[in-house]
Amino acid sequence: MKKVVGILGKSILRGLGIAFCVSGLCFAVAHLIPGDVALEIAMTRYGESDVGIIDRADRVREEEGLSLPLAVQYLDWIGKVARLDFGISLIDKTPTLPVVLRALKFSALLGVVALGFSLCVALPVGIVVGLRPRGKFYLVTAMLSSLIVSIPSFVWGISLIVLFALKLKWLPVAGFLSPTYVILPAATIALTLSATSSRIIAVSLAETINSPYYAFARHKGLSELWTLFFHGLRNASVPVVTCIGMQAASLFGGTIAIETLFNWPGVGLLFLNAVTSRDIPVLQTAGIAMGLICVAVNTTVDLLCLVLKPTARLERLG
Amino acid sequence: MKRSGVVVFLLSLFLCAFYIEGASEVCAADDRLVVVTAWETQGLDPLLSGFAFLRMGSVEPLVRSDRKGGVEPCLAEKWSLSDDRLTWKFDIRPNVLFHDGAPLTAAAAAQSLNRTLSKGAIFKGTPVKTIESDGNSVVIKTSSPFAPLPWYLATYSTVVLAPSSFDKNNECVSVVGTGFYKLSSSEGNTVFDFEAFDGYWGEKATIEKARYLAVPNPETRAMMAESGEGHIVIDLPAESAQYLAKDTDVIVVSHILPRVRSMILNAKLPVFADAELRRAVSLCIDRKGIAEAIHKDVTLAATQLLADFSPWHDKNLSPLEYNPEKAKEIFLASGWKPNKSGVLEKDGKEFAFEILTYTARPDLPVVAQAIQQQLANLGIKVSIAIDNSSVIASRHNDGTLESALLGRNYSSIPDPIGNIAADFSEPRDPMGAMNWRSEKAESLIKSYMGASNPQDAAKARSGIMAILQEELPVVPVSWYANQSAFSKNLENVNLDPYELRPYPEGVRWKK
Repeated sequence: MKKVVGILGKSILRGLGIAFCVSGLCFAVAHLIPGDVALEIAMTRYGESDVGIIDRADRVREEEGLSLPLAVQYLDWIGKVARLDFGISLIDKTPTLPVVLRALKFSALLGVVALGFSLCVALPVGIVVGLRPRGKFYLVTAMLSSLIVSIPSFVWGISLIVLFALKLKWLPVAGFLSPTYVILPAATIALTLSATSSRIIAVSLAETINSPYYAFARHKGLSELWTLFFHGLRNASVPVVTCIGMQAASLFGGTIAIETLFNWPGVGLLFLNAVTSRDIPVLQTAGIAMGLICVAVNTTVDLLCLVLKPTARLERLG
Repeated sequence: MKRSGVVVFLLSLFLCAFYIEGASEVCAADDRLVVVTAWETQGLDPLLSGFAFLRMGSVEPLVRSDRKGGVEPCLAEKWSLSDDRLTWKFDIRPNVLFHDGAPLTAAAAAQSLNRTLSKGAIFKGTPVKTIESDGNSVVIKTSSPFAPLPWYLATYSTVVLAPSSFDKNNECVSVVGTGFYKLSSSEGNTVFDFEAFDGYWGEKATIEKARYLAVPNPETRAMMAESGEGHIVIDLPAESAQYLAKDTDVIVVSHILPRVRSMILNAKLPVFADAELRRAVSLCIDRKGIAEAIHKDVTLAATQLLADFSPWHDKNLSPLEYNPEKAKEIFLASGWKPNKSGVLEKDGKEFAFEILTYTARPDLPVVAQAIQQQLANLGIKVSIAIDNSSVIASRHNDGTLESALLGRNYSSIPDPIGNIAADFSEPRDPMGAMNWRSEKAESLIKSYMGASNPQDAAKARSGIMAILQEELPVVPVSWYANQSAFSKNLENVNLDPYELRPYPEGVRWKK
């Protein structure tokens, strides 16, 4: 129990540290990109050909305090965050927290469905290949995995749209207004996720099956199925869970191409739009949220590994 | 393992329920007209997002674009100008209702317009002094004669919203307009649903429900047109439009916009200081080649600043041409001769400059490369820099900009004078001409602004365009076209090149 509390305590501290660093990095990036921040904001708000755009930019600079020293701007924002005030968007003047939470909601939905699809394919394929690592099925899946991973995900996305939306007309092209809209983007992401996961599951299971403790379990008279489930899969699952955890974390913000293609309003697209329009408060709030999510996912993975293989995990944690 | 599976399953169900609950308000109905565009809104404020509500027929201005560069009555049924040409009187159309049931009054219209004036928006830099109501009229006073005022009132920044649209701080909290569609719900900045407004003063919408859907990715928009998910799809890439034109369920239309890809040349640089040298550079550019190869439409090759549908297009002007031989002669006559490497040189200095452009308009870097190659053929060394569009403005302001290739819109006000004045007279817009000044052009711009009759305005307009064509402070390269697709199940689709009339105006399903 002490170890669990230790992991949680360290994670909370790590989460706060990472969130602080990520928000600072976002702030720095927004200011380091060449160009005038106030002018970029004015151009996003009113259009680049708007008459009197320089006056508007000066007004933005004045109203939003962009002429203050950067340190003052950043510390001011940190002070507000300490009071749980995440500020308002520089573009549309709405509070940033609901905007970020909405994007996170869509990213979470897409991520959960994509991971679900991925596991539906990767688990059976990985187990079958892991049990017969030198079979024909291994060769076929290895080739397919390499093919899937080597082609960019948006190409798969377009292919799925052409097949399922334009030819078969089973699913919509893009949007987010009913549950059917999540299927194509999730399937696109799941393709690459399952290609990686199935390989890791297969390799991990093959290593476990060849281990002395697995052979001992079989020799002491346990059935094949029992040994596979309670010795093979349990021990093989630690690297798999770690890999899926990393995949889950990367789905928050790491699927910009898919979100753009399918017009899915996730946090990746929000991040991209905030960077291009220099919406610094949105960028910082999204940075904090993504930092915290990464740590939360990592902590969950640590705890799951602890449950699955306590000795190995505790040894690693020291 | 079993428990983990149950937890994951329940979590998925929870997320789905959460999501569906949020989206249920905006679920599509089969007979809904779906308009797909590239442009996300920035909230509800018409100063930021009025384009979406104006183009969907939810809000209206006092006067509106007549689709030909002129204006016609809308919420004001007529207008007049005082003898001293300083006071405009716009008579409000009777029996017009806002979507909340309140009647449109001159006081409400003046309140809405005064908000625009106070925000320093479109009226900034104009001589507009006061906006007041007087009986059933909105009275606008200017400090000097200002002939294009009605055009300034036809934009999305000057639409009239009901007093209930604003909170006590005068911030826009809802969109309560007078148009044939009223806003019923929205989801983020990308989806807006509308319902036909029964109390509309003009021709009512025949399609009961409509949706504005912002889809920034052009390929996705094209696929939505092909699948039939979008009934009116605006702004398609040239390749997609060509492909869709073969589709039997979709009609593709293309119209040239008052927007031009042009090169700003820093007239302080020795290579651009002389108008003859700027003309020589212009002669090196094969506009037809660029238009055909890159934009897939040879008619987009610019012959002058604005295309022939605009009242500012002057047919009497000699068109910009591609004539490398003539360019060579000008360079030689000016002392620029090829050195051993074939690069033009004068007094030991090479004819070299940088074109700064940006990727927000993806065709610009490609056009820049074409220009680079075409100029290289004549011995001009061009380097290309790609950055954000605001860097052009920053480098214009600090004087380090050599040249820039940009897309310039001359229809943010349907009379391009607003943008032309900003680009070619003082105070100068940073996306306009650089270190070039023409007193004659400035005087003509002033004359146009204060013109008392259409003849004087036309004369000033011709004079301005002649100077720009002769001096070439900005070198037009190609015009923009809006390629749009609409479903064959629709009829009466009539898109405004100025994009200031509603897309669904008069549109109905085919029987």
